[in-house]
Amino acid sequence: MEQPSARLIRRAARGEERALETLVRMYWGPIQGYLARMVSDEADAEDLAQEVFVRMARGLPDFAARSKFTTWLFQIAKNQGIDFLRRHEVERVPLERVPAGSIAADRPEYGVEETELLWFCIATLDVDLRSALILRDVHGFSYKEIAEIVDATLSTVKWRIYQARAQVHARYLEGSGAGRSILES
Amino acid sequence: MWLRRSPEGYGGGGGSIASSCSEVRSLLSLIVDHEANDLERARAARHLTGCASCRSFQSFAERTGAILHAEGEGGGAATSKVRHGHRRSTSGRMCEQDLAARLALMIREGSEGEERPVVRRSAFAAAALVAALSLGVFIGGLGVLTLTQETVTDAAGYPLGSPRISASRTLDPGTEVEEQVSILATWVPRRLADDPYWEKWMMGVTPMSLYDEVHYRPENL
Repeated sequence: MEQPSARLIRRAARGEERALETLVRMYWGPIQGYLARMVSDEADAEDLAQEVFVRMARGLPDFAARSKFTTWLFQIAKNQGIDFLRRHEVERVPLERVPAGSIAADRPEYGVEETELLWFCIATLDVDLRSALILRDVHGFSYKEIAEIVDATLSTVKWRIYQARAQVHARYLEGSGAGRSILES
Repeated sequence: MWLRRSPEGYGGGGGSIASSCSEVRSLLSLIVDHEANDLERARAARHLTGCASCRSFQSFAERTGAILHAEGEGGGAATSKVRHGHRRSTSGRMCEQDLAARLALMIREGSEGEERPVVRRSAFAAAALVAALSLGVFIGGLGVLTLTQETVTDAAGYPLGSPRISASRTLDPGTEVEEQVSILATWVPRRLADDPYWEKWMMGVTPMSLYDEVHYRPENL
């Protein structure tokens, strides 16, 4: 994921509106998308994303670049998502609340049913497994970066991603009968 | 070590197959993510030659990874523009510029104005308070909403930034059950009469819990 320049971060930390706007434009989509997958509600995800950027703005003056900017930002988003889920006590959601993916229309090689079933299976995962899988497969973070974002050891991250895939695989096979679409491709 | 090697090794027969496959699949997960070392790749390869089930797991992991990665490339969400306002409000949408302006103001004023140099209730704030109290009576069916508004001013009395509004809503006037509501106003009319939507919007505010934040911004800005 693209990193903002140190100069852009410094300008944003000083409260320069143009710099902050650039950061919002760069990361609104990934952050909102991550939160939408975490809380399974796009409206809630937008509210949470706004709060993430508010916290980012509060923290920017103290951001010491000890970690990548995106790792830090996603750490804030993860905390917001977890807090939200704890408050609302929703970790498992029915299919109809899973936000529709945007890729089916753009990427015809992936079927709508296949994508929806996949996301349904992901939405039923425990939040820690779900978060790790999304950070890896959707946002492309390395295991080391994910460990930093979710504040866990590297071994834990490996285990969570493997468990997430194993559980999604099993549920996908249950949901699709023979799992034709993915397995025969 | 997070992986447990089964005593039967890989590709064993009978009851050992499940644990072997489990172990290899954890390796396959690493391999798909390019996080496996040579030894782990070799172990998995030996097992895969005789295990169709694990080969299908690898295919599944690779293909789902591609699907999810495509999701990330697409921005990860169907909605790419910043939406302003609580979902139960009618305040419409906000663009990145508006959010950036709010963030810039917040940084300049320092942590949402918690440490402001001069805080006093201005004449404008008093006017808003009176109007808000009458509004509280007006929405009596939903409880009484009481607003207080503070405006940060400089030494000359000139308002700095947006007024800060806090509200408490008494859900049942017969009891003392109160609900604190946080209202973040990016823009507030200097006089309520200047913006007919303000009062209308306030009447529609129905925060569900004390965690809710309600945002307002006039449609014409």
